[in-house]
Amino acid sequence: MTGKFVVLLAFATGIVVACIAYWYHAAFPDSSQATVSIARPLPKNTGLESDPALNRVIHSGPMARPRDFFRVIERPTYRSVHEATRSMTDDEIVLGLEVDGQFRAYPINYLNDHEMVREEFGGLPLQITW
Amino acid sequence: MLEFGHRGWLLDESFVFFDREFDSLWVQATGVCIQGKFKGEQLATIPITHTTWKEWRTLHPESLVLAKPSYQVERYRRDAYERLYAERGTQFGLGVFVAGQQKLYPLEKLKTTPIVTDKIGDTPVLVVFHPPSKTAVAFDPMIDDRMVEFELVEVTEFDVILRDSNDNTFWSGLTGRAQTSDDTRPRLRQLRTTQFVTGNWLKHFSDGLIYDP
Repeated sequence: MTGKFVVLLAFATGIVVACIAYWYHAAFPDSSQATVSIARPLPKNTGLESDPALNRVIHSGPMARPRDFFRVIERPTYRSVHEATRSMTDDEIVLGLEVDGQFRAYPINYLNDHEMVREEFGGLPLQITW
Repeated sequence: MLEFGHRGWLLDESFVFFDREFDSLWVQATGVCIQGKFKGEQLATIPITHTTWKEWRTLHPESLVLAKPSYQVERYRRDAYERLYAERGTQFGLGVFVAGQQKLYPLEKLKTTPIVTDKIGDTPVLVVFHPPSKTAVAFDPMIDDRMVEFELVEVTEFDVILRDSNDNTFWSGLTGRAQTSDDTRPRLRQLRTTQFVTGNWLKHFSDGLIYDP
């Protein structure tokens, strides 16, 4: 089902895009409501100033961050439920997904510092974002 | 295939990531490209379930779990967001996406009605909420062109048990599986959802709907 959907999308747009399983969490501790105090306008010459809608793009943090400040998890490794349970707590939040009969869980405590995981299941490219 | 990176840029409290090849900018909340080569394009999404570890491993004991990455960029911030949300009293909803439309189901509203049969446009949806684990999911209630009418049986420690009022079969409301010995029974198709801060819903989906019974 999902595979078909992605293929359809690729045809519709004429490009092959990654399928992103996004999980929106609006309030980032270092941003969101805290933008007033610590977020700053983008550096000049990013090409965003000319578009009024994009003027609202801001960067967060005490100083401009390098491009890869959040290191994307590119080669994720996994454990079994039995192995993971030893180091996880019952109430810990995970993002769970199923692709092609395979189930995966992504503990948000690991995602907090990476924000994104790149993955591929059976030819379906995924970007898990948090 | 695009590869994405993220450096902490934000738009209306959603993070904005870039693709490495073309440096175009994408908004996480919507999956829409707002600047660059793919401006106006939207990434496809798949269903994902926001739940507790105990709940997930009970429903899917065969699941694999992301291992702690070997390269540790910072110390891992355990439960950083939960504390923040509790302090701020942040309200969440389940955003459900079907046929080009989207509707938010505030979790506060679902607390008292663990199953909601609704329509988004002309598309029927079944929204299920499990208060003990604060897990919300949505399904397409159609099976073989028949609209299944579910009624709530009970909320258990790990599931929301439903009954098909037509044939009295029992169903798991969190997995969409019929609880019968007949494995050939089709599962309900999980819909694409995302948990969303209620107050930010209309910022990203100006034509988004909000469930208000």
